[in-house]
Amino acid sequence: MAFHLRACTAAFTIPLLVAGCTSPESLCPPKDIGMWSAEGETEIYIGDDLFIYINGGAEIYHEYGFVQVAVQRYVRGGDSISVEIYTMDGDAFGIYSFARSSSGHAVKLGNGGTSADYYLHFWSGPELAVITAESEFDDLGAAVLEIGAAVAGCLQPGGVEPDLLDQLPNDGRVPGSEVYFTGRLAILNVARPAAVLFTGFEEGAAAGHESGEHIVVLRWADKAAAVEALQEARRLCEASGEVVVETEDGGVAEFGTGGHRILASGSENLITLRVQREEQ
Amino acid sequence: MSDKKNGHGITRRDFVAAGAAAGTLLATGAGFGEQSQAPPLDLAVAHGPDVAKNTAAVIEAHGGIGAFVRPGQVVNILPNAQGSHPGTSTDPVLVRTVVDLCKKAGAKEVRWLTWQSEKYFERSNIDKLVTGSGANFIQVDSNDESQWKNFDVPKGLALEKIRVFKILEECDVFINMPIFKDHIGSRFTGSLKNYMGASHPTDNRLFHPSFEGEDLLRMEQCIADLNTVVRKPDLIVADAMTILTSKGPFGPGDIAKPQKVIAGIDRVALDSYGATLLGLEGKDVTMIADAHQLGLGEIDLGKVRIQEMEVG
Repeated sequence: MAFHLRACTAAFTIPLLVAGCTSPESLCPPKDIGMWSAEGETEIYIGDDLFIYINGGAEIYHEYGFVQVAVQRYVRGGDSISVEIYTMDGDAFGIYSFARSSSGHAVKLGNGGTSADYYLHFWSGPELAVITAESEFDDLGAAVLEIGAAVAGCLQPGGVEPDLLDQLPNDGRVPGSEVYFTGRLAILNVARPAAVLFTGFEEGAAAGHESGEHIVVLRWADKAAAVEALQEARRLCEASGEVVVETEDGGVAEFGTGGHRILASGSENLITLRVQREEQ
Repeated sequence: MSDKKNGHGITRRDFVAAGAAAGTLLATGAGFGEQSQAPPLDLAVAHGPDVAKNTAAVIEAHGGIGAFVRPGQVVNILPNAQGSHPGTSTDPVLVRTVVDLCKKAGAKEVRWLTWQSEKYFERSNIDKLVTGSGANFIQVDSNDESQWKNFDVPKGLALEKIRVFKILEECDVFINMPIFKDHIGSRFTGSLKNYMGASHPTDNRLFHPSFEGEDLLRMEQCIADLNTVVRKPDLIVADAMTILTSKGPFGPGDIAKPQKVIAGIDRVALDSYGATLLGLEGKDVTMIADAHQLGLGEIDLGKVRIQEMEVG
């Protein structure tokens, strides 16, 4: 965990403050990073206390198995950068893939990172680091990366990307657009039309396609559950008067929903969706 | 017609500049300091790099702060303070400008209301700018039931009861001060959703227990329902200077800089306009459509009298 506070986290009411809890020597990242200095105390929020830190929007972190977040602000004159280290109950790739910029570029930090114009996400093991410039200044991008590099050495090692990502087609996939999810709120944001139709899946992965489509792969517990989910989606479409097109082999269904067209194909306990706007 | 700038840095030409791209009906005519012959405005929209000037301009377009606040009155304000990530909190300068205008108009007291921890306001830097302005920070205790009013929601389609802090109603003037931005649950947050800053946080979390099935859109209906019982705004001043367009409401995410401040009274119209800044229409946002269905305001911007102005 970042900020190396394990020994004292359990003993304090949240938010836990670093002062008096640990010596500066044990802090990781350090209080000073280049010209940047830690301002104030590190705040730590555990479990439902995330709602104290994030008012609206905390649900997505819980959906991905949130355990705690440590927050520290760094300042240099009038400039400031926030560091947030989220710890999840499993590998942090999922929340990383959801939270990162969809238009950023890859950086080699932790197991993988994405840098956008004023912020940076990267993950390692169960931890997600989010480095955000809070104000505008000349060397903003370099400063965010500098602090990110200092934080990277503090994260727990390990972690692997979920196997389900391998089910996404490689041809035409937009690099860095992959999102892994296990819950409703994530799919609602990643592929809203699919979220309306498909429920009960155990995990999913999505990615952009160069055609403009969104590719979504959903996995159910078994084939029977996947078939039932496909039938339920069909019922929902028919009940709302949306278009449903059966293909000859019966293995692929085409839905129209909310201005989108979804082409669904099943294989064992997986359903692959190609989601596109109807004008495409 | 002269193009000489008035005290707000706005030219007559700018003042009547087209908002036609958004399908808006312009209220053309008088510049500041003149009696307008145009019909009353629904929305005033100021575009420019200076948030303070924009804020002053939109209020002036509605007749000036004196049209809303009279000497001796108590004013409640409700900014959105989310945190330090860019584009997530109501611009502190906007808040300070409104407070200063209210004070200048002779307000006896300006009260900035919240149930949130002070840390939100520290992080968003609102506290630094508003401290010293004379506004009183009122932090409602969510654990003290005496500070909350229980509302039945007779028009509610999803919400039957809701607690809202009592002090919201205990004023002469209420000014809602949202920021327009993305929201992962409802796609958009603005005037309507900002009222969740006045409803009890425990009740708020029941708006969206699972995002499953029918529950998927429950939060949006709950927000519309909430708006049927809370105190109506006397004025809304919305921040659209720098806004989060993805990964909202907390970010960090993509940022847009519309450099606009919008003022009006119609919550639905304001949010419908705000949605366009995120590439949406009001009807795309279920919460806005639900509120329109409940008679809370106009969703069709073609029917809304909008005055757009450039502010130098």
